[in-house]
Amino acid sequence: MGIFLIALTYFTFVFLILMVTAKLIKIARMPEHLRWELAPIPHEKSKNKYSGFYLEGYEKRHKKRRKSLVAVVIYMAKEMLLFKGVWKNNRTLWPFSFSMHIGIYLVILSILLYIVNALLMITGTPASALDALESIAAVIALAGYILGCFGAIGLIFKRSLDAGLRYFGSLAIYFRLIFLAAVFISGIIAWFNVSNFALTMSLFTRNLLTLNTAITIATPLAVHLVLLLLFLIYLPLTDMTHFIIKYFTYHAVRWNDEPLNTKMEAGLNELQSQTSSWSAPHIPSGKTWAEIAAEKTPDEKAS
Amino acid sequence: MKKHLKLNDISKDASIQLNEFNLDELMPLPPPYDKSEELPVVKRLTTEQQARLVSNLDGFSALALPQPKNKEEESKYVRQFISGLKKLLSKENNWTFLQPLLLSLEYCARCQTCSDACHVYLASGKNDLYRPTYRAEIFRRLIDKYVKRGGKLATKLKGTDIELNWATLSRLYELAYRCNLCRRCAQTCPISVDNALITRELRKLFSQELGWAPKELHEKGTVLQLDIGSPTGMRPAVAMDNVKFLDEDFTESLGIKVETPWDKEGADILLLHSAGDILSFPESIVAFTILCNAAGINWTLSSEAPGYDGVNYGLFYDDVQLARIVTRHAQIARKLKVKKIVMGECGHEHKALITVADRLLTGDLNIPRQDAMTFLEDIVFSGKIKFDPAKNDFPVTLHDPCNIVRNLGIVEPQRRVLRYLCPQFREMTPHGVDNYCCGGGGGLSVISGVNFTDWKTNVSGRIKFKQILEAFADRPGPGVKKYVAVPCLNCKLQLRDIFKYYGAWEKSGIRCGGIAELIVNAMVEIKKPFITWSE
Repeated sequence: MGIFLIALTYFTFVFLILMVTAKLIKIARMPEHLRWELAPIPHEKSKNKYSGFYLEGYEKRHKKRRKSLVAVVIYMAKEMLLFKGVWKNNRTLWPFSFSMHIGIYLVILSILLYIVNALLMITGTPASALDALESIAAVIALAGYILGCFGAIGLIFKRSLDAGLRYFGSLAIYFRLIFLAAVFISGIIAWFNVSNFALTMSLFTRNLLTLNTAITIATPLAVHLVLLLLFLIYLPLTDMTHFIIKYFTYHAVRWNDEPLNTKMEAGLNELQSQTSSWSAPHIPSGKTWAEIAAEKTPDEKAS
Repeated sequence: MKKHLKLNDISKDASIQLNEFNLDELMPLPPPYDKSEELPVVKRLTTEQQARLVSNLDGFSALALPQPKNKEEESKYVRQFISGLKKLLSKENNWTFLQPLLLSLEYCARCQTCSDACHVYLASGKNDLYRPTYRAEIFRRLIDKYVKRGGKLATKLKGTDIELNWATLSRLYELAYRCNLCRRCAQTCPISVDNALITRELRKLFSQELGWAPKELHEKGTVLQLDIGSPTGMRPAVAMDNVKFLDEDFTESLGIKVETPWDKEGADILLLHSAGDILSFPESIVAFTILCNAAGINWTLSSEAPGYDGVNYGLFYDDVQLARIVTRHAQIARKLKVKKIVMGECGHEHKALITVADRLLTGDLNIPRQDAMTFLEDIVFSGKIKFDPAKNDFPVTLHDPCNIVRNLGIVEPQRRVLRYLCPQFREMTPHGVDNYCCGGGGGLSVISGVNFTDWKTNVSGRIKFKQILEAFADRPGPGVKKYVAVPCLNCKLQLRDIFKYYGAWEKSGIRCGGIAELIVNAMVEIKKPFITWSE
């Protein structure tokens, strides 16, 4: 079991990182698009109160713009930690969505604490010194499992009972929620059935890092770990990667208000030199975007 | 119990109407507009129209799509649609919006957070058909099934299978024009998915691949504009004649010299009005002329087609037409050697020329472009003109055109002007970047279709009308004249239709007009009222 879990864990993380990286590269390599920004744009310094853009100061627009990174961080923190948008616009969904996501964050945090613990163990830190960290990790893990479980099961019910959600749902959406709920439930079962959950997880992590397969994992914990790892393999195959893709939906589209510059212009000229193959009668075939945009209409030629 | 629409209902029996329109289900309006029996009867399609035109969505026809001749024709359109889906996902054919489109297609969490942000969905009494997600989710599933590898099997396994047939196609086409593209839905999405963009891409597919678009936007819109200069049908000479007539008329009635410069090479500013204002709201054109002259601005209009009409309906449905028109506008400005182009009071013109075109107009076509709001603000606070705000002592509220405010973030300049010049200025709720669309956005204001105006006045414009009534709730009745300041031609056209339908002038004394008119009305130099309170 030990060697299987260690191999599966390494495979999972390599797979996850490769798949997510591939997605990110694919999106990042997409061509420069036309501007499509949307208020509010938090980096607009001094106009945040009413969400105005730099365009308001026309005469100053070509001078150096003042942007606020702090405002962006605050905006994103409110969105990612408090789910402000869902709270404001979809209040009945918020308790479940918030719980599930916070549950996930706490489980991730507990894993980070296991890693810290494992590293301390490897460096020979006395076991007594690790107790406090283990206790914190244990509490965070349990809180994460319970919140995540409440959120995922709540969302299953919410999506089943709310007609507005039910008719837009799919088997895939229910499958992932059930899968996630199973991960959290198995976590709770393991937490209560393994004598010292956090210590065992830290030891497993230590063995993982040192490639030591000599470890015995109790069945409830093994089930939880397998479910968790399978979920992480499934995750990049779905739209749940929105946790990282949000960077692009916000920064590359919604907040992308960068005026035309020389570097951008070269890329845009290249894009406009591509040949379009749209078939409608008003679009001539075999011409580039630039040629189509600049061509004179028949009437103008006649006059 | 309310019947809910399912996504695959869209592909069922093309001969039946998917959704029944019922006035009593709509969001209630405050008195005296709360009695539906006192409103004009909503026009229904006649039996002859139903036999001739596709009318299988909600009882309204914006697009007057003819019935297909036979099954072969239906199949041909379906094949073309699939071909268009593939082109939308290709870099060569859709570099313009590929990244935003793919992000919005792939990462929707189906949480419906956007629905309650949509004024059409809310006003309709929460009708599923008008959810921002209804057409977008169908579109996503069609792409999954017909474009992605193994899509047919995958969509069956995922339970997201939707049949693309004539029923789906014809209903989606009409449904693409039940959205104002106001992007309030995108604003509320926690992931920043943009269902309005998906709607625009759907319109684009129909236009750029099948050659289908509303005649008001295409044949009588962008095509006419590129051919003769303006969707109004005014050729350059006619536009000049009309403006010259306005100059003379207002010179006589106001007692000051009103004179518009044309084709002045080397002017500082090329002013680009919506030509529709010349015909429908001529006071707006005259007000700009008076203000520019009084402020001593070196400016000009252009008589070269389409340099006297800043509209660009391509923004609503077609990237090719969009690019052609912004390019022509920039070429004309370059030829006149002006220092910058200034927009008239037209929302979508602002978005098309100032931001969207920013990545289309490269090289010497990248001429500086300024919005109308900061331009007017600069004039008002330049100290060159004397104002008496007491001349505007009547209730005024402000409509925020989505394209100027939500999409360009130009929020305060117009407010600074109104707070200074209008003692009874009051805001609507919500306002600014959280505003509601007038219901005519996305090109809908110029589309009348067969009986589409009734849908716009009853459904898409309903919340805006309610907001306006609530903003003036302290001054009810027709005795007190009230002014809705609307810095956008399309919004004004939509609000004029709404006010006419509900009798808002007769019952509440409400009319709409631009911001420039309010500024001129407050000028000390002009002794007679510029705003005349005719309907």
